[in-house]
Amino acid sequence: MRIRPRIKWLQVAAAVFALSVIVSACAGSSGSPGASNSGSPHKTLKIDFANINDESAFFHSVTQGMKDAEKTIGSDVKVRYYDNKSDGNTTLQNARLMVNDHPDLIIEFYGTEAVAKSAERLFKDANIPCITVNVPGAGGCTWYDLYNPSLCGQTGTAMGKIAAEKGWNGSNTAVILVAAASFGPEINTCQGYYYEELQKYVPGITKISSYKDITLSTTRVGSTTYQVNGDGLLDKTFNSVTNVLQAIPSSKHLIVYPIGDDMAIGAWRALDQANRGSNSIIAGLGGDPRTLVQLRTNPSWVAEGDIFISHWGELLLPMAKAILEHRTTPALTTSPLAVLTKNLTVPNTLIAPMSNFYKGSETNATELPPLVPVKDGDLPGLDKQGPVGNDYLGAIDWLRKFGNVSGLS
Amino acid sequence: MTQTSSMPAKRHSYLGLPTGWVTPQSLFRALEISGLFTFLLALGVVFALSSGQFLTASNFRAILTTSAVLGIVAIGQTFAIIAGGFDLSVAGVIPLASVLYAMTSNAGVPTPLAILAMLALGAVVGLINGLVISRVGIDPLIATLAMLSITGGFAFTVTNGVSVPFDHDYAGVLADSGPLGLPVHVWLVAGLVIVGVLVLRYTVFGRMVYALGGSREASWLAGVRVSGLTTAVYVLCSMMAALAGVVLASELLSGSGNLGTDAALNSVAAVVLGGGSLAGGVGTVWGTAVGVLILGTLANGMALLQISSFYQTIATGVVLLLAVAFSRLRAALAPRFYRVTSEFISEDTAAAVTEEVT
Repeated sequence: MRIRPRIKWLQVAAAVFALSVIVSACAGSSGSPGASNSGSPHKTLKIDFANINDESAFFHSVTQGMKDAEKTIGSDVKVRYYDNKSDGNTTLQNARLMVNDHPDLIIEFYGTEAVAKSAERLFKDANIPCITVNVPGAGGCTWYDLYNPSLCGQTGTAMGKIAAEKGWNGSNTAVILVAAASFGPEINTCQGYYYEELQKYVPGITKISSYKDITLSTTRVGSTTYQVNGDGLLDKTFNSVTNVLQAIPSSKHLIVYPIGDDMAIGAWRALDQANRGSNSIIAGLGGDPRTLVQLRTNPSWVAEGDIFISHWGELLLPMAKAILEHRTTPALTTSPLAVLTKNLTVPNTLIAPMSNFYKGSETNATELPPLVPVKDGDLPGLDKQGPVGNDYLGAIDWLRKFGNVSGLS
Repeated sequence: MTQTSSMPAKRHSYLGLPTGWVTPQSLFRALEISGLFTFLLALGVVFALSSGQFLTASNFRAILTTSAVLGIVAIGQTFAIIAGGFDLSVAGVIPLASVLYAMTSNAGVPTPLAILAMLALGAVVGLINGLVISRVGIDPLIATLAMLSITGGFAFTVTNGVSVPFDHDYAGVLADSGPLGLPVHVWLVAGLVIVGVLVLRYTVFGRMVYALGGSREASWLAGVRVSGLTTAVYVLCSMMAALAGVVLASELLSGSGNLGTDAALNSVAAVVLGGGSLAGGVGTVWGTAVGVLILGTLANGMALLQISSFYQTIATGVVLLLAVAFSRLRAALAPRFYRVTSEFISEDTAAAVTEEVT
């Protein structure tokens, strides 16, 4: 007797709920800031950004930098944030969520290239322009990344010059390169570019004809050079370098180049424990606060490849605007880069003292390097050449709001 | 049968074997250990012939230094495996202990106190593992996997993902140079191996661990407090992992959330290489120590020979596979060795365990 009215009420409630869901969904689909402001002179660009992994402080600084940049730019841009958690499935799931959000542009920081094809197909089918960060992706998005030929190559130049000044050569010096096999081949082109330049300044070390001669399988280059795998990890690098040091006579000077800051710290610890620190020079890559301290205080730490990762948002958002304004973008838009040294300066290169960018004992950059003209160069990982640079961003008013790019008023 | 009844009970171990006698089992175990040493020796000979740098004091120091952390974890893992379980959470406890040790040291806590605090942390983690496994009845694989995730997550959370360098180098005292130029932690591992051997071989606790791994039901019937013993084993294992985290942080002068990521699998591999059986009831700390040295020598030798890291991974897998095959072979051959005394064992085991427990 009392059941039927209840069922009726439930049916009505369910119908109202379903109707409200449909209505809110319809409202949502046309309710993006961009759409709601269409017709008015002021349009807020809606951008979705998926970071590689927000649990890592290093990568989280990209999200934080993006938030800071969003704040500086103001109401012209609205960013929604996602975390790919360095996981392929999560990346793909986020790609679907972002497509459903109908942003004006998607910025995708891949943890793994394996999902690039699927994700970029989703973006293409939804007709949403995109930027891929860190890896070239599958070609469907515009690429933003650090630039190994410049950053790693010029770290080789800096260390080569410093070693040559000390009188180091192939007969009294060994080179240790520390790769990160799990990072994939594109990132590991760094050692090849580094060595290609280093060999120009250190006489007698084994020559290579191209950066491609050093691959992830390379363990030895002639009699002077060794490559070990640190896999991006502090402890694994410590063990790998400790082991390879046994193969190198203690009388030899050492030039050590790990392609990441955690690995650089591990390698330095291995050198120090083997009492070979004072007979070595080492550089890091990343611009981690710990390695910036090393560069300031450790006589053997002679250079640091800085990618200014916490400032990437300043360039990514203007890049997004440039794409949406249909400006011509290069095949690779490069991040701010500098090879920080204690006091070495090499004109017309990235090599400059760290005091140019960091005040006092600060580990947060107050000044960014100048924009780099777009010209043809190697596209690492794609095995071809194409336009590379970032000076086109100087024409975007958003970038000027930050007032911290050298040479940009 | 008559042989059993005529044997004085006090002269039996829990396996019912006359203590101090050369038995088929002890002979088999000796052959097994000597086989492992032979394998290690063969490995050394191959590398010595292939690389002029292998047979140097400095290289032996390098092998011992790089093997020490795994050695500590593997000793704890040996107890867990002999008891019939295993502990994957060591790979989470190591980074957590490393970062907390770095943070407490940086906060000015005296080094011995900081080390004790990390051991206490390990004990708490092990206690939770043990209670979840023994009282709630969750499989060790699931329980310790969950704890790996929790502890590993905490290690990243408390540091926000960055490494924590030591503010004061004295916190790395365990990695300081000791006698013979070996770091202090290598001597620590040597001491722990000896203690581990003594505990497993000559204490009631050690024999109960074997009994527990051999048969949980038989141990219970013999009066062993199965839940308490299981918990104690996991507490011990996690404490060793925490100590490994402290040692690793001391070695690197920093703690990090991504330290020791492969410690779980490598420690299990070392125990299996050393003759331990994942079925429980079998294994020795000596064997595990040799297993650790085999893995360390293999990594060192391949690095000296400049073998690509890809091939190094394959080679390590092949060695592990060979070790497991050897373990199976041993399991197949064991009954032949044990047949002689099988009746003797089956009738006397429960009585002997009961006697030793009481």
